[in-house]
Amino acid sequence: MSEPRSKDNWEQRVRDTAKGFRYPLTPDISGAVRQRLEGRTAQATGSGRRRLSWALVVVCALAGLLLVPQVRASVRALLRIGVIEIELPTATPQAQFATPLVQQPLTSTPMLTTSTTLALTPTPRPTPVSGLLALVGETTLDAARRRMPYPLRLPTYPADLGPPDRVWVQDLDGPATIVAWMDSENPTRIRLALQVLFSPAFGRKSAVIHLEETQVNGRPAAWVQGRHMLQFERATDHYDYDLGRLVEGNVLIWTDDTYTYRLETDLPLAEAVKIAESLR
Amino acid sequence: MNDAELVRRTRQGDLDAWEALMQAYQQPVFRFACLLLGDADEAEDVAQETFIRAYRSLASFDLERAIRPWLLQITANLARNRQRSAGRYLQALRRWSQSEPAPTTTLGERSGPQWESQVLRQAVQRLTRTDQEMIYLRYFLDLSERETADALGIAAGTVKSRTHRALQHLRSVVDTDFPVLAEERQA
Repeated sequence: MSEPRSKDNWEQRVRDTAKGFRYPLTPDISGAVRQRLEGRTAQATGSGRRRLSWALVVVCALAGLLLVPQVRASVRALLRIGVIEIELPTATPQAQFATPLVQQPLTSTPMLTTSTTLALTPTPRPTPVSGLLALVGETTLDAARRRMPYPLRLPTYPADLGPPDRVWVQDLDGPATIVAWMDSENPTRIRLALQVLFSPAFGRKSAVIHLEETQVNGRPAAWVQGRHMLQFERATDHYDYDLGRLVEGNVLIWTDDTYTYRLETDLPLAEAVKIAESLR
Repeated sequence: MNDAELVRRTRQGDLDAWEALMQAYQQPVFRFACLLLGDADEAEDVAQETFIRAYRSLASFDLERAIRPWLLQITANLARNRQRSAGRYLQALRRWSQSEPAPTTTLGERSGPQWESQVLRQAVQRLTRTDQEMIYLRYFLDLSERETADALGIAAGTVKSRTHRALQHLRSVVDTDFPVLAEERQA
């Protein structure tokens, strides 16, 4: 059997076999959603009730596991805000980066090598623009709006902010937009950078020194100060690798119903929250 | 009334129009979620959330765009998020406790189209997430190349090559772990 004929046969075999798949009966999703939209019910009902009883089982099982010292030691405390997972800070004042960075989309530091130890300080520094020049995916704001699946909202505070000066859209297993406003007094520096993430992008912050839980629009948010690592997982047809970079400065992370946001700034928390809550 | 008109009416507050759209597309959305999550209850949650998210984003929806691939795109993303959440651990625990011994079947029952399709799905579950979505959209849900591109947010021109690679990967899995599917059907 020749190669092309075998390929066609396999494709047809898959197509024919898939046709025989039996699905569960489709429930009345439209009716349930309508009730939710009209405010008659609060949340999904499909697995909600069953999930609660199983949650109790899991809590009991985990409580038993945590009696084992080795298990306790291996459990790392994590905070999850949208698609960003944050390893909670430890008492260790210095962090050792054992894994060399593969790529630094917004880098402001040279690439780290194995066993580099950093003396981390909480002093924020604006991100130099030289890192952005290496960032792929620069585009226009209109193009970014078309790529993102939901409306792209931008800050309207401070009043003099205006539209972003630079825009990028990257593929993190889903489109992710980065918008940056430059420092008018120092064009080589970024005044403010906002990253808009959409599932299934998944990022992890590690080596965090200072973390504060806060709120944006009444929803849980996280405020990370000082240098820390940010890595994104990405799986494509061609390769799997981690996108990693060292983040300097302050970062506010929050979500709304559609996106996860990361605001990188050298402003204090109160100002960052005002900016976050000004998105329109 | 076509989809674009239903979307326009929904934007004006007509929930009957939105319900009509949901009724038209709830089956493929639910089925796609079932394929990705393997659990009807989880799939129902994701399907509901798909339409909630879509409804909230209708103001910016491009009326020139087909709505089905857009809905399936949201479904895929929500399913991925669901699998990363703590909920997957609860589900795994539930499945473990509810696991039943494999049904005793006759040789005839184990060679029917339904059984083969279930084995095929098990094979597809061994692939990367990207390959799974491609196979499910193109062959289980029978979307066109154009719709598949739209649902996955990729260029139409790359669907053919990505589909080919996904089929190759699937063939490798089948040859190794599911040889019964690798046998050619006798005419």
